[in-house]
Amino acid sequence: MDIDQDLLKRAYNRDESALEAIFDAYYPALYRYLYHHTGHIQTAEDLTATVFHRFLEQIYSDKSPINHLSGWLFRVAYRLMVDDIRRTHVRDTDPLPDDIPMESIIEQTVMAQIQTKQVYEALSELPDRQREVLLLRYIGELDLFATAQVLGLNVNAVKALQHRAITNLKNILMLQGELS
Amino acid sequence: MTDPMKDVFDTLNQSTPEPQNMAENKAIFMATAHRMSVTSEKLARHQHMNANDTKGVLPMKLRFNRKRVSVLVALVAILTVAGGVLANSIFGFFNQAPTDTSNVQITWNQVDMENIQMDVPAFFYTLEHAMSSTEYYSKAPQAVPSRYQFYNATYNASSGDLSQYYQCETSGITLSQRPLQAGEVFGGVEVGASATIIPVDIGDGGEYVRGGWLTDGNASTLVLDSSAMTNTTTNVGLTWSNDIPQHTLMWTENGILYTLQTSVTQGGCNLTQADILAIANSLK
Repeated sequence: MDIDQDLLKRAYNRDESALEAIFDAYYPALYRYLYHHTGHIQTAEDLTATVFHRFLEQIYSDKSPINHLSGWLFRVAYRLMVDDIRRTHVRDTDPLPDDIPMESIIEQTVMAQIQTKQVYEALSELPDRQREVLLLRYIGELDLFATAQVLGLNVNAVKALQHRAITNLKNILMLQGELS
Repeated sequence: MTDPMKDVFDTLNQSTPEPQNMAENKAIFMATAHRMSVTSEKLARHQHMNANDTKGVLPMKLRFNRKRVSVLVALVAILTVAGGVLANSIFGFFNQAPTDTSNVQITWNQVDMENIQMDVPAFFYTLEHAMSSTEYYSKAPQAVPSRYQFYNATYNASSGDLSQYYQCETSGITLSQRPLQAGEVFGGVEVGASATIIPVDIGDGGEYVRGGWLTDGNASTLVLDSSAMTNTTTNVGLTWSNDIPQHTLMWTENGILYTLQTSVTQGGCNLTQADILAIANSLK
C-alpha cells in the first residue's frame, strides 16, 4: 500500500482534499498496527491521531521533506509506541472478545478467536525485531522498502529478518498444533 | 505461490476492534490542518512585511543615532514593568486569607446518577492530541525536569481549560491554561495570611506562592463518609504552611490565564522555585 507521490506533493501545497485522502488511506492501517502493539483501543487511536498531527507539523514547517509517506508515518508510529510503552510500563489491555454468550456465537467465530489468541501468543515469543517486521508487513501492509525505512535497515536485511520471523512463527504455531 | 502467513494475519486483522474515534480524529486533523495553513500564510505575510520594513531603513537609523536607541530601550523597559504591575493590580492571582487557619464545611450529597448533567472534559493520553483539540493556540513546557514525565491531559471544551499532568513517582505538576473571558472578574486563589506573594516578570505579569493548605484529621473522615448512603456534612480544618514544597505560579499572556501548580513534591522529585520558573519560561 502506498500513496501516490502526487498526493504527497498536493499535501505540501496545502491541498486539504489530499490531506483527507492520506488520512483515510492510512488511519486504519496505523491504528491496527498500534493496536496490536498496545492492546488498547483508546491508546492506539490517540497515538494514531498523534502520528497525523506530527505529519501536519512536518509538512507545514521547514523540516526536511517526506520522501516516502508510508515509511515516514509508520516510523513515527513506531517511535511513539516505544515511548508510550516506556512511559506506561504496564497497561491493562482491552480484553479479547471472548466474553460473548456462547449461544450467540457461530462455531467459526469461536475458532477465529482461538486462532487469534494463539497468534498473539506466538508473536509475543518472537524476538522484538522479528515481531516488528511481521506487524509492519502484514498488519501495517507496508512494502519491503517502507518496512526497511521504518526499521532503519536495507531491503535485503528486511527480507532475511522476515524469513527468520516466518520460520520461527510457523514453528511456534506448529507446536501449538495450529499449522500441523 | 501463496503466502503462508496471509491467512494467519488475516484472522488477526479481522479480530482487530474497529476504531471508535476515527471520525472525531479526522475532524480534528482537518481542523488543525486548516488552522496551520492559515497560520503559516499569516506568518509568511508577516515575515514578508518585516523583511520590507527593515531593508536598509531601520538598521541605518540605529547605526547613526545611538542616543535615541538608549532612550527607546529605557522607555520600552519602563512600559514593560508598568504593564506587568498593571496586569497584576487588575488581576489578583492570589487572595490572602485573614489568618493561616481556615475551616471548610463539605456536604456529601447523594447524586441522582441518571439525571445528573456533568460537563465532562475530554481525556487524552498524548499531549499533541490534547493540544490540537483547543480552539486557541495552546502551549506546553519544553523544559520539564527529566524525572517528570507527561502522564495525561484533559480539555474542557466549554471553558477552554486545557490541563496537562506530569508525574514523578507520587509527585505531580499540573499546567492549566484557558482563555480569559471579556470583563472576567477573577476571585483569586486563597492562600494563608503568612504566605509570601512574589510578583514574577512573565508574560503580561504573574505571581508565585510557595506553600499550601494542610488538612487536619477530619479529611480521612470525609473519605469514609463519602460511601455513606445518607447526606453527610464534615468540617475540615485547614492550616497554611509556607514550608511544604508545594508551588503555584499564575500569570496571563495574550488573553490566556496560565496556572502552574505542583502537589507536595517529595524526595528526588522535589522542585524549587527556580525549577518552576524554568518550566513556565519554557512554554511554547
